[in-house]
Amino acid sequence: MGIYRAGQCSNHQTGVAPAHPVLKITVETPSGREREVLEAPIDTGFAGFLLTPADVYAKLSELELPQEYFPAYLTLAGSIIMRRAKVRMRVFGKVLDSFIETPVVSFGRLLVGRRILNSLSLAILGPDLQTCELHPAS
Amino acid sequence: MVDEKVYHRVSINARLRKLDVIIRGVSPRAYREFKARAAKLGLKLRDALRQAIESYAAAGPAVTSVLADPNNETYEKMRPELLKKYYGKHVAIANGKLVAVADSLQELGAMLRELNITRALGLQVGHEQGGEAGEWLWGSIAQDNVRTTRRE
Repeated sequence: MGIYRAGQCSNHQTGVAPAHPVLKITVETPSGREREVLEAPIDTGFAGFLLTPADVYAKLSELELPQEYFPAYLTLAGSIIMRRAKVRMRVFGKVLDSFIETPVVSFGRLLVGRRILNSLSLAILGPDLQTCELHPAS
Repeated sequence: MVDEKVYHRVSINARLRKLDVIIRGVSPRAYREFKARAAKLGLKLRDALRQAIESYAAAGPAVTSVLADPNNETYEKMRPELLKKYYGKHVAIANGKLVAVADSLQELGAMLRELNITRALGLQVGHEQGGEAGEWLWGSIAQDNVRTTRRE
């Protein structure tokens, strides 16, 4: 397992009950012309990348995938098909070529899912209301 | 959902001109979900499946396309050519034509900027994944916007 040291941290959203761990993510279009800094709630129950509301998606979806690659997610209310676009993300200084997604039908919301979370070393420090990146302590 | 290997035989009740159909290749997850939804609607599985097939057939070819998009139509037409000529490359289609081919997403982004294209269809040919992408379960329940004035 090893010993880790916490680096940069994002503060939980405290306007919701209970407070929600978030990641501060800078999302940029492939051309670099559009950029948004988002505080995305962490959702380990979402298998996808970065789910965004439709208006954010409209701004950042400069390069959208063909419809045959639109993913379908299983929810308690049935399957939801998402649009998906290529973006570049920066999370705690780490740059990722990744995707944003939004439902084809309905408005969407802001969430960061496991396909991004699994590429990061994170610690959720609940009592401190912070989510921090971890570095191996060498 | 319907596998190519569909076996059918004429029902004993030929007067109704209905078929008994065996469908192979359905994922267990999709099957469970379908069964649960049928039960929720008070339908027998066979009736739900019959309704689904009939409604799909009635909807016609439009159901295969989620949104009307000329770039997507161009992609559909060009797909065999893209796979043959540009496998592994990053490509962009805009205004109904192929506008950029690059070795990386970064390079493709620079080309879009140079061409002043703000909206395109893009992919790394032969490397993208779609279809069933997993679940979105717990979060959809837990993250309803319950606002509060209380600070924690």
